[in-house]
Amino acid sequence: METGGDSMAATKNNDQSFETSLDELESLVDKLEKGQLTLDESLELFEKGMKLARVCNTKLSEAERKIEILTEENGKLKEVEFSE
Amino acid sequence: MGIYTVSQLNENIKRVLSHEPQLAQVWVRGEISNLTKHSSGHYYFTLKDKGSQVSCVSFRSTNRGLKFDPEPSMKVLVFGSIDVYTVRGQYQLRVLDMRPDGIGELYKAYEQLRNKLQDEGLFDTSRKRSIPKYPRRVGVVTSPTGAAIHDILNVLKRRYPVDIILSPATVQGDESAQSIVGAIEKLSHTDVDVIIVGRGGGSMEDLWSFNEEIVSRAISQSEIPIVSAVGHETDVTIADFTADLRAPTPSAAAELVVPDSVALKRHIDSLSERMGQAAIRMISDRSSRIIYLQSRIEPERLSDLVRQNTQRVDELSYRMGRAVRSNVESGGMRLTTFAGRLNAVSPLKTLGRGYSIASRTDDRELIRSIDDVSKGDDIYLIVRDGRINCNVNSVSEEQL
Repeated sequence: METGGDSMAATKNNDQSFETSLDELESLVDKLEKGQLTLDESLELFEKGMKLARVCNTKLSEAERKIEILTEENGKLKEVEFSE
Repeated sequence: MGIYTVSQLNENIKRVLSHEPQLAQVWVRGEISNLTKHSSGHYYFTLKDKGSQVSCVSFRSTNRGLKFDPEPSMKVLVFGSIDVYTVRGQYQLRVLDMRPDGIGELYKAYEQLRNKLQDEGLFDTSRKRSIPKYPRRVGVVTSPTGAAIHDILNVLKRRYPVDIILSPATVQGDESAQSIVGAIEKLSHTDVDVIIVGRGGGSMEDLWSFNEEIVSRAISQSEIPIVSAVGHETDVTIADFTADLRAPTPSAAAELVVPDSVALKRHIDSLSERMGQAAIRMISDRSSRIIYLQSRIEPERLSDLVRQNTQRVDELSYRMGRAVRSNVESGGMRLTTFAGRLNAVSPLKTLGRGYSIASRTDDRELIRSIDDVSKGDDIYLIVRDGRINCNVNSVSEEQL
């Protein structure tokens, strides 16, 4: 599942899910630790990994999230802000 | 017999009653009436049946442990001791435990439905959808005014950044089951990743909608994974069996549907740390290899090598010179010896004593016999100081 294409997408856009980013980060660290890569490959992975870690941390720090309540208006569902 | 004061009388009665083993710990069945829940947390009520009644007091310490909330006209089983309230000259039942009675019918229905749905396979593990590890949007089906939504929001806000969509439902009373089903259905049109269905604690009757068939069917038919969160730890409803995951309480449900972002951050930090270590190790391995290789081609080492070899060449040539010299010297000595020995056997010495050497002139062959010459041959004689040329006159055989 984790193909080269996926990794390419990872570096290009920050839009992939948190889970995909974290999975990719974990497998990348494993690869790095095995140490069977060339220096260039290692440094490339390292750079990509640092980017992924930053993306993951940013996602976790997104404090402002929506809390909404579903309401029905003229038979249509609407999401409106919910306050306790 | 003396005369008692009222207090003494009541004290005596209290002593008698509280020492009567048959009344010390009893179970009593009856119906609650005149229930007063005092602000102190104590409950006062009358337990009655068709023909009789008894005052009861249930202290806060007991009430905290009750699994349900007593209500007027509720049928209950009370466990307690007979006590006397001397102030009013009134005996009462001090409640130690209380359980709902008359829900026998409800239990029967519960068992029947559970068996039926179980036989249909609605509780099978193979049917359970997996709960996403990192949801982006969480749907909640519960009352917008209840304790459950409050608890869930608290936990989710603290734990992990997710969007929350509340699909409001009535969770108690006649219409509640239908309301819960509708709320689940509405969420199926949204993009939530997981749904929490539940409510806070209450009596078995309060939680009853979660034991109704239509709720369990709606849960099992949902495309989106559902976590049930009904009442307290000890309340197990049929919805709990049908749900993809059962949470003991609404707060626990919130903890189950999202990871802990603090722990996750720590995990990500440790991954970054490991990555840094691996990179550093990789670079330091290579640089020590470079240092090693460099040390092998250092110019000092090279010139040292040359110095070493030069010295060796010098040494060898010195040794060679000495060998040659000694050879030459010993050769000279041997030459002197040989010359002496040669001199001893030299024919020149013999000539000095008067002998001469005769040779043929033409071929310089030594003449050893009369057969070596013929009459008329030119010969010569070598003597000590020169040569005498002669001619053969005759040859004769004659012994010396």
